[in-house]
Amino acid sequence: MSKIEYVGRAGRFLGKSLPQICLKLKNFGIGRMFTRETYKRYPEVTYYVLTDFEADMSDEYLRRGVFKADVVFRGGHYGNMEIPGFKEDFQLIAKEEEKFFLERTLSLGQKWREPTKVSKFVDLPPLLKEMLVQEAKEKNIQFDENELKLPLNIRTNSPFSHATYE
Amino acid sequence: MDLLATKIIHVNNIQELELIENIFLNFRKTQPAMFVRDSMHYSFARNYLDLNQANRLLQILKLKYKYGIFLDSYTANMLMDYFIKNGDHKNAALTAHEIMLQENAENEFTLAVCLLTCFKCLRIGVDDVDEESNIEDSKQTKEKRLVYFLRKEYNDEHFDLKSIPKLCGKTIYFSSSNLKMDDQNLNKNLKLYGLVHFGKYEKAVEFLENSMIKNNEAIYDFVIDDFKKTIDSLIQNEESSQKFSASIEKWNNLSKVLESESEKFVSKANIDSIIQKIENYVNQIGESQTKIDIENQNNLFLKWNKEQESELNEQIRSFAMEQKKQSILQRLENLEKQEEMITFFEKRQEIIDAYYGKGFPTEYPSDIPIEPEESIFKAKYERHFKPWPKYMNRPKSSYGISKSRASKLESLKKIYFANSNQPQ
Repeated sequence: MSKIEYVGRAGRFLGKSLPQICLKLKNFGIGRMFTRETYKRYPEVTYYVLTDFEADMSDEYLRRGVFKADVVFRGGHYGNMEIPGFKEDFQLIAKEEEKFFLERTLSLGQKWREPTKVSKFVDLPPLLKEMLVQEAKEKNIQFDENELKLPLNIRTNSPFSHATYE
Repeated sequence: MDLLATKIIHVNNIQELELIENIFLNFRKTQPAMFVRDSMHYSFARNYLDLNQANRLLQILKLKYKYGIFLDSYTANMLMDYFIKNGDHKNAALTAHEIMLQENAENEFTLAVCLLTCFKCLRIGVDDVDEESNIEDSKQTKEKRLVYFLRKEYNDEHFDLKSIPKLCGKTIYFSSSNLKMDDQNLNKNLKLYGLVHFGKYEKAVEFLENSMIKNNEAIYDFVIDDFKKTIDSLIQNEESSQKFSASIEKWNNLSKVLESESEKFVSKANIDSIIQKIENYVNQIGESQTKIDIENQNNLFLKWNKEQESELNEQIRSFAMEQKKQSILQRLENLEKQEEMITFFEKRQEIIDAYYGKGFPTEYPSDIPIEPEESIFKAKYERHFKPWPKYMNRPKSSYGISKSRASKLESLKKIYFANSNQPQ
């Protein structure tokens, strides 16, 4: 029998999927910490603390399921959400090393960078501005040219938005 | 499954045991296996021990995806005790690895016993079968196969470990770092010994430099001998010598220090004497820990009993409710039928009127008239050859091209130069 050697392009993933790790643990690894290989490129720590684990037990490839975790991305807390456990990119953190990760997390509400500052109004596109000016002249409407601006709406409530008005 | 696990002890022969194992194997593939209780694991392991099937239990424990049965600290104690009394140190160490893999550091006594078993296993010496087989494989011809996506090889050094000495080293490191020993010197030596056998040379050299030599701790000579042996084997292999070049240099510096001040750092000790020390320590812990363990276990049993009873009662209640619902529905159906039978002569005329006057729909499928249906071909034709609705109102020359060559050119001109006045 000859050994098979696979040839192809390598992805960036390194590790195992969540069910592949958790089905080998008692209590299905709830409360344990996991990292992902892709997020090791950042200087800050990123990890998940598993809270819910509901794998499809009949799956041969050990991938399908619903997984929820407390997400810490680049040191900041992002709350409890579903995570893509099917990706073969997860690595279990030993209980010894959990201290290292907990030390480097920032306090609640803090993130790795300061929020981007955005002005409340933006200039109109030049053609639209010209057309508006012409229309106003035809209808004899008086206006101040500094007021011809568009308001800028940004989301501030969602967990991923990180911007404020000036 | 909880009840089945408790009743395994009534098994008569090996065939029945295989059948029960098969049931557990199939149960693991179903969704309720997510909500299994701790009591099932305990009763399963306990009954296998009582049936004198410890070797079989060990095989089941190793197949975690298939069976999903894990050891408690109490059952692990019993299993290791069984193996040690039979003088089977290798299997005892294999059970100790299970506790290390789960990182279950609740019970101190189990950790101490893990230490002892792994030490004895290393003392006997176990051959590495895996590496030899790999070398044989590499000599054979390789068949190349193209895949769309290549998976990187990954070894997490926890579940993927296969060689027994490495696993033993990791268990020694794990249990000694979680134990609270009075003898700090012994503890640190054990940690170093574990790291050396685990194969983490960088960590081992760092540990030796920072915590041992700086604090003037004595190191046992058999630990140093093992260290020297492994480092020598590293230097002989080219790949590993490049990989661990920094740690080898550090080790060379440290070994000179150790040789020059051998009285200060090196203390002579046999492995057997160390095993004696650990045995004494195990006995010491056992005396203090047994009372607490027995109390905790009794509390656990009471808790499990309550949980199981409450669940059983709830299941019985829900089953009875469902049965009652079904019986009521059946009685209602019977009543309706009886009503029809009784009131047939009173309503006879009404039924006949309905049948003849209004036209009772016949039940035979052959009598049902067939409505004229649009042919499939027509619909298909329209869909293909009718112009797209966007161009419906335009003249045909704008979208269609006629078949003859002369008119083709004209129609093309019409399409492309419709707006421009001077066609070229």
